Amino acid sequence: MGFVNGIGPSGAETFIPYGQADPDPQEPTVLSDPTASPKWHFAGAIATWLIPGAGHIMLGQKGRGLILLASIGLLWVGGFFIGGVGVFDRKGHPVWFMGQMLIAPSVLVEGYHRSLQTSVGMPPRPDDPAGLYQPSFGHVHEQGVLYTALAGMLNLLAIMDVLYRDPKDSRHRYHYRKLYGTTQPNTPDSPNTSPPPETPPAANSGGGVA
Amino acid sequence: MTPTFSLLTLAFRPFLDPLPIDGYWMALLIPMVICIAVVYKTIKTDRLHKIPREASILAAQIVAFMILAALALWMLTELV
Repeated sequence: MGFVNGIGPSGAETFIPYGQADPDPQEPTVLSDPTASPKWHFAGAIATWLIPGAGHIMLGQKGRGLILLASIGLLWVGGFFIGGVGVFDRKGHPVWFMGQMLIAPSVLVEGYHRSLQTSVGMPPRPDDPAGLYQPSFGHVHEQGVLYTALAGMLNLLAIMDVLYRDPKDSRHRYHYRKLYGTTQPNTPDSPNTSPPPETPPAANSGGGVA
Repeated sequence: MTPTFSLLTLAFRPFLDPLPIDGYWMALLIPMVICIAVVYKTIKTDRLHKIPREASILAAQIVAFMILAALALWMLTELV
């Protein structure tokens, strides 16, 4: 797995040494390697389900993964903080929980919530000083559920983005343009077919395979 | 039950008790919209340095259309 694969203007494959293709230090290379890295990334998708953004980091897109981790994580933790543990309730609102469970820690928190309930499976009374937690109601409960379920559904977008990666998508075309001064042939934005340079441009230390 | 015990147990416990913010729940929509815009643009945008600008525009559009929808519904209920 020593090379990143690109497609030249003539359609021929161009191999760039792995880890030294990207002239832009702000973002690692996102060209795909169909031989070493398939289009389908099941391990990355599972990693994203466990920790938002982890799949992108695994595929070499560290910046993108960290932004996803921060934004989705903030939304999920925010909802958890606003509504308390009571917002994760599989029996109380099963449809919302389907959205929440798209982030794996929600399942653990829901189990913890269930363990805090009374012996008859009911939440404690709100005014019960001996209650292990306080159930939420009204707008606070709605916002907590909405935040956490929305975080799960946004994580589903990230999972899908990791799971299947088309090497010809726009992000890859951008890198192609950056490297060769043109886009791939037969793309809507540029029909330019000038040949690529013999060697890839000088590179930095960033790199990765998507 | 002593008053001391009652005060101790009724104190806010993060992640166990809900926040007492029922009065201004609508303000919580703003951070939610910002997170939606950032995640969407992070996935869709080709370059990371474009994200702040594009996410700001998307968040502003979402808030603007929410306000417009609220105004339209308010007019519908008031005038019709």
